[in-house]
Amino acid sequence: MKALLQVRDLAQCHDSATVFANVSLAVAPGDRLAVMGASGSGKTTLLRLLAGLAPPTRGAIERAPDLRIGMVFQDLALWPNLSVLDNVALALPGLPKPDRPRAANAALAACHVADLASRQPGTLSIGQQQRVALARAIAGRPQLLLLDEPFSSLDPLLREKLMAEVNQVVAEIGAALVIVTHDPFEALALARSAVVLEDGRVAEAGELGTLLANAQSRLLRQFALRIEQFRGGLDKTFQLDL
Amino acid sequence: MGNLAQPLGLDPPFWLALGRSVLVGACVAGLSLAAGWPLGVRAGLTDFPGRRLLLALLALPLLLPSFLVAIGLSMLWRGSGGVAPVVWAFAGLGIPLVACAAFAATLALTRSQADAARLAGGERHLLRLARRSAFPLAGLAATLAGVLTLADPGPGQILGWPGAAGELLVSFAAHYDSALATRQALALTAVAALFAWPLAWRLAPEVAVGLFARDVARPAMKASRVTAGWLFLAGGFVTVLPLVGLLKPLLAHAWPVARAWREVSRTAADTLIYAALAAGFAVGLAFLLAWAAGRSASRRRWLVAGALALFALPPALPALWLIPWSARVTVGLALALRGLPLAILLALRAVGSMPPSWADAARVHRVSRPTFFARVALPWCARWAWPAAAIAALLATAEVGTVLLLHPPGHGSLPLAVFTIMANAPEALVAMLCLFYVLLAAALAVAAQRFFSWR
Repeated sequence: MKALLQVRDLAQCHDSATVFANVSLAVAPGDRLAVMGASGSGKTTLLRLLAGLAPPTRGAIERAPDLRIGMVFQDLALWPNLSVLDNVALALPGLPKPDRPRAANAALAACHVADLASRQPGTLSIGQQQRVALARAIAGRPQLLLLDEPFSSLDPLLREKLMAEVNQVVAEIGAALVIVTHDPFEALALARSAVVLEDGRVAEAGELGTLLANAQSRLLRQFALRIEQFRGGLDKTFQLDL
Repeated sequence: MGNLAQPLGLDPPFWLALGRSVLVGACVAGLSLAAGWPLGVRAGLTDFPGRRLLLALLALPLLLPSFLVAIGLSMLWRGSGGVAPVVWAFAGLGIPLVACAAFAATLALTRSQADAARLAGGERHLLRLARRSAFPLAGLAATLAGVLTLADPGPGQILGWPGAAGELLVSFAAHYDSALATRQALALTAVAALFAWPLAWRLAPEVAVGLFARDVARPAMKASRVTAGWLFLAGGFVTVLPLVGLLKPLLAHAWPVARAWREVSRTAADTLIYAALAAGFAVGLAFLLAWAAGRSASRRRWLVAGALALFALPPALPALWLIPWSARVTVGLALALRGLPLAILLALRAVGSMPPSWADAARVHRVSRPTFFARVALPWCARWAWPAAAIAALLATAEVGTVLLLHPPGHGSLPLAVFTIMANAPEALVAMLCLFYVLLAAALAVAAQRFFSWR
């Protein structure tokens, strides 16, 4: 299958410091890729490069012709002076004007926020804003959906709920997904493969289950250790309860 | 002094007047800082009945020409001149300026910072912290208040302590010697620059960063009657007493309402045209510059430094060079320079409060730049453009020297009419005109406040 996105030997420098180098990856239709790494490892920078928001210092990014991209930003980037409906409709420049409200309403309905269409983003809860940002990203039926740590400020229950909804929406529109996260739980919930950035390079990449079973990077080793500790704690609790 | 004066072609009386101006400026800066700094900080941290009214009372002189305050004081205090009344008149502008700056700086404190300070050492510790964080802006405002007195001829002329700006006005308006006036303006600029520009450069980075908006929870405010008392005293000192002075002649004579209204009608259209032109030019240029600076730290720093330096310049200086092109548009253009620095600060705030992700989101979702600009950026900036325009218009309206130098015959402004007739007209008429102006400024301020609250 032809890749939507092909990245070769990508490098990005900032003020003469190298953020990362020699990054290569490919995203095919239907792929679910997590870009993982600690804070400051360059995850968001890489996502911005994939979105075409900044040019790379070195390397090449090849995109499929007329690739439609949707993106949920870390701060959501909702336009505060527009209503929820206008936020979504404005991101549909490819549609004729009369069709935009209908398509925007459909995207809002898919994200369970159709009843908030006339509200301003500032009057919504954080969870509702997340859903509106997702609706804006999927409204144009993107082939590639980029998520930049979209759940980092949410409580665990709401996060679980929204991740399930994202899974459902992404499956419905049949988009490939790239999610940036430092949280392996989020990666497990939404992605099937992962790229781990560490020390300015790709520390490991591949199918997520295999990576976790044989963790090489500090991030995934730490995660595996936590899982073990968690299991140990559960065992103890179970014995005590008995 | 004479040796220094001769090469510049300036005579000793000018240097003496400049010395008087520097003395007044220093006193005003010191007094404004001493009174306005703690007052602004306290007003930002405490709540009390009538808070908005008292704050408005304190801020009203900022909307008035300084000579109007001086006329009120001269009618109240029939002394034989001296430095004290002039300092009082200028402090009527300086104290509110510093208090507003300290108030704005205090509003930048977050609730968590305030709570941490309260936990560490109670209310006193919070006040100390707030005073310290507000000092750079308050100090800058105090210096500007001092420097602004150098370029303002009104109160010195009216209260019998003429300064260098008065000499400059006489050189042009009485002696018609624009070459001498230009040299005097340059000397005045050099003195103003000596004080203001190093400070502007020193504080520009801090102000530039402070202009980036943060969404913060405001600190919880404690009730304080002491602050209310201080605000009442300060408001009385800077606003009520000059107004009482203006009312005094009206109590002794019949109110010349009809004659004053004729004067207002004659000048109102030109006054409003000048204000609108100045506001339009200032806001347009300010937003262009702010957009050009964007989020670049160095460009914002340069722009802030430039704005502060421009604010310290005598307004007559650019006007002197524009004399050959005397027209209403030229008046508007020159007056725009008065409001431009504050418009720049507000425009930087507007642009700085737009996260880059908004434009990124538009780009990713293929929203065209003109559409993003028209639907998102422009409405967002308009929230700041309206207050900037209101401030620029009020500052422009209060400026007399520029209108005097540049207005086409028969197209003077209302403040210029008051300034020119006050020597020969009956006191009651002058007082009536001044009160009309105060009412007009207050009504505009209230209307603007209502308009912005509604939006």
